[in-house]
Order: sequence, then structure tokens, then C-alpha cells
Amino acid sequence: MVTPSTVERLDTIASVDSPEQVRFEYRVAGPARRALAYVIDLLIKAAVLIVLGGLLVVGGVKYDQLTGWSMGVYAVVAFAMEWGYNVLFESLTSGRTPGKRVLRLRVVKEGGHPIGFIDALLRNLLRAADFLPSGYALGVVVMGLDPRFRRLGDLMAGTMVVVEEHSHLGAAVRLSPPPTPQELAAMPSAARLEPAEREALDLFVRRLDRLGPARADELAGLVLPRFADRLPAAATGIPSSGSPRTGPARWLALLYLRATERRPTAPRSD
Amino acid sequence: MNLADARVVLRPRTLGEILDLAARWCFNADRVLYARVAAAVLLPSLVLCVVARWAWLWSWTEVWLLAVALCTVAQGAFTVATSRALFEHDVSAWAVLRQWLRRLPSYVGALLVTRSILAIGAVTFVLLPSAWIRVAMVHEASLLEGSSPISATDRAWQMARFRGTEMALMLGGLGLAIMGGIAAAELLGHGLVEVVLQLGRPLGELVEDGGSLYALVGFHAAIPYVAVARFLGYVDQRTRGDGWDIQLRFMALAAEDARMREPPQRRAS
Repeated sequence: MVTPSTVERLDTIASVDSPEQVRFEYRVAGPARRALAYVIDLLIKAAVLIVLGGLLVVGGVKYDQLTGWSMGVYAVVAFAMEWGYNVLFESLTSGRTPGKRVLRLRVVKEGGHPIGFIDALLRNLLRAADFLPSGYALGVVVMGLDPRFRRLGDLMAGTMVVVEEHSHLGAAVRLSPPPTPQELAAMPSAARLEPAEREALDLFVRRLDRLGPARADELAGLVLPRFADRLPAAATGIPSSGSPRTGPARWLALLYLRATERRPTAPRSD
Repeated sequence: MNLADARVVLRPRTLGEILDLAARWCFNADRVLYARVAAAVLLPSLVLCVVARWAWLWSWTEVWLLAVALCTVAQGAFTVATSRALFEHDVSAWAVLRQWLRRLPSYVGALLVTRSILAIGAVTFVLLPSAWIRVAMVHEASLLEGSSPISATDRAWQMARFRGTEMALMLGGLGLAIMGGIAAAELLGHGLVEVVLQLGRPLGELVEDGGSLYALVGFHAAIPYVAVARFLGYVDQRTRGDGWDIQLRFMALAAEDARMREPPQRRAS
């Protein structure tokens, strides 16, 4: 018997309830992915400053060092890069610096909306506090303790960093070997699955080729009694064991295919 | 082991998610348990490294080799602690250490076998990364699956099959985490001792000397994270291979079914 666990489970998904009572789920990015994006941005900033430094050294005639006005220009650009790079990119490209773009990360408001200039400015000004005492130590600790991996700047600006997911339609489920017409005909034609059942069986059937045959049958055995009761006409056909071609896992997969197959709609008379 | 009691949501994850989840685990798991395990296995390792450097006057290269050797064995205690804490509440440090010590001879044997394989790989140089990837999960295979040294090596080898890229990225991520720990501790240590207290550099300097006390502390501090992240990678592999997430969903359906079968009075109570 499974009893629902009361333990809070750790995950990297944050739920957001909209005012319309719709729940959205976001995959939030933690220290590992954000550190990598930060390093990419750091390399870009360093490359820009190295190129600029080279140009200024050449332009300032002295070939061995930056002096006078060239040093001033370099210092101003370095300051602007340090404080403006993230603000500029995050406010102009809807929460993505080049580093975040590479790792498919995006800064959004806690409600999932795009961030604005003030949000970007606020979260990046607080970067200095997150850096304390050195190496973003405080920021990492705060991120680790927060369920949405927010650092101090995010908490202040009401933002979080999420991982963008490429949504695509799931490929059609294929069974190997393909079901024979006789197998499908042996299944109940009007098998109706509840949403939770359909979701669980979809997961099971899509992963069937990566599960060992014995393990697949063992898993199928967990829910066979449920369907045996619901589908009395088919109950006698449920195998308790057998080969991958005839075992419980195969039966469950066939049930799923039968329940989800598209039936041709009757032509309208008018 | 009741999957429904797992402290983390069991589902297939990307490498980035695993590394992030490991960070969350390190900050949210049973701190007393981890502090006690660290006091039992990491503190003696750190003390031994300090003694080797400042009392026995070993070179930094020798000290780092000692630290790597000691921490390779010590991380097994955190692997055991994390595996216990994933499914059990109120795990005692003593229970963790007892399990680790019981498996220690076989675990050290497995480490010797795999390190020998790495040494052979290092001779050819080209084969080293491939060999490292193949034996990365030997800690879990030896400590959690109760395999003998040879079987653990074979099991680790099997686990890494067809997952070379993922394992390589995982090892790279863990390497970066260790370097991050060392760099952060070095910066923090120097910031405090040299800048705030104005005491100079009495405890060494990583870049100039090749090591320092702060860097050693940072290296040891990163070990629990490394063990947790690799263990969560192992859990991810089991979740994919054994369908743990599917099992949880099926168990929930079966439990709902069982509830519906109960008489209405019992269901209401």
C-alpha cells in the first residue's frame, strides 16, 4: 500500500498560480547553470575589453601601456561593461544575456511576465551584495536556500531565472513489434482512460523499449488489476506472465493504443 | 526502499538539473547529519594534509596527491549518507559511518582496481578520458549495490555504456565545482587574513606556491557536493532504466484503486 508522503520533495520546478486560477510550471535555473552562463558573459566582456585595450594602446601611440586619455576611455568602458552589460541585454532582449541565451535561460518576473528596465537594473545593482564576501558566496547560499533559486538581486526585483523549454508535439507511440490486427481486435474497443491513467500509460509505453522486459512486466503488474476490474470483458485476456510479445506490458501497451487510436468520424448527413 | 518517500521528485533530468538539484540538496538536507559525517571523515583528512605540509614539510604536489587520495575514499561516506537520506528520515551519522566502514575494504579495492585502469589509460593518454568516464560510477556500484571490487568496476562500466557524453559532461561539471570551491575559499581566506586582518600570507598562496590552507579547505568543502551530484546522477540513471517515475505513477493509481475498494466508512475515516 502506498501512503502519500508528507515530506516536502526537492525539485527544480516552480509553480505559479495566475489570477485566473491557472497553474503554470517553470523549470528554474540554479547555481550550476547560472554560473556557466555567467562565465560565458564574463568571457565575452573580457574579450571586448582586451580588443578595446589593444586598439587604445595602438591609438595612444605608446605600444607598451595605456596612458592619458586612452586609460580614461578604457576605464569608462570597463565600468560601463561591468554595470551595464547585464542591464542592457536583460532589458532589451527580454531577460537574456548572450550567456543565458546559450544555456536557454531567461530572467522573468515571479509571475512569469517579461522583466522591464527597472527590474533588470535592480537585480543587477544587487549583484554587489550577492558577491559578498567574495566569489558570489552569499548569492550562492541564498540561491541554495530559496525554492526558486533566487539570489538577493532576484528577491529584491521580484524576478527568477527559468529554463526555456522547447515545446513540441510528442511523436506517435510505436510498439515493437507493431500490433497485429488480431491483437487490437482482442482488446476492448471502447476502452476509456482517465487523464491520470492516460498520462501514466503514455509515459510507460514511450519508455517501454528502454525498460528490460522483466521490469516492464513488473511495472505493468502494478496496474493490471485496476484495468481487469474496469474492463471485465477483457479481463480473461490479461496475461499474468509471458514473453515480451505476449506479457502484461504488451497487453497494457495495446490497451493504451486501443484507447488512444483515432477513430474515423462518421460523415455528416447534411 | 519506498519510492514514494523519496526526498526528491523522481523523474528523468538533464545534467544541468542534476547539478542544480545537488546544490539545493546540499543546502536543504539534514545539516546535522552531513556536519557529523564531515567531522568524522573530512576533518581528519584536512588535518593530515596540514600536518603533511607544515610538520612533515611535504611539497604542495605531494600534499595535493594525499588530499585527492583521502577525499576519493572519504566521499563514499557522503554517497552512503545521501542514499540513506533520500528514502529515510532521521538517519544517524553513526549508521551511515557503520555502513561505509562495513563496505570500506571492498570499496577501497574497487577504487584500486579503477585507479589502476586509469593509470593504464594515462600511459596512452588518449584513453584516459574514456576510462575515467567508464569508471565514474564505481562509488555507487560498490557502496550501494554491494558488489565486489571487480563486479563494481564491471557494473560501473555497464552504467556508462552509451552515456559517454553525459558522463563526460558530468565529470567536467564536478571538476568545475571543485575548482570553484578551491577558488572561492582562496579568495575568501586571503580577503580575511591578508586584507582585513593585515597578517600577510602565512598560510600559502595557491597561484604562487601551488597551494594554501584555504585552497585545501575549499577542496574538502566541495567533496559533499560532488558526492551528492554524482549520486543524483546515479538515481537519474536508475529512474530512466528501471522506470522509477513510472512506478510511482502506477503505485499512485493502484493506491487510488485500493482506496476505492475500501468500505465507505473506512474511506471517510
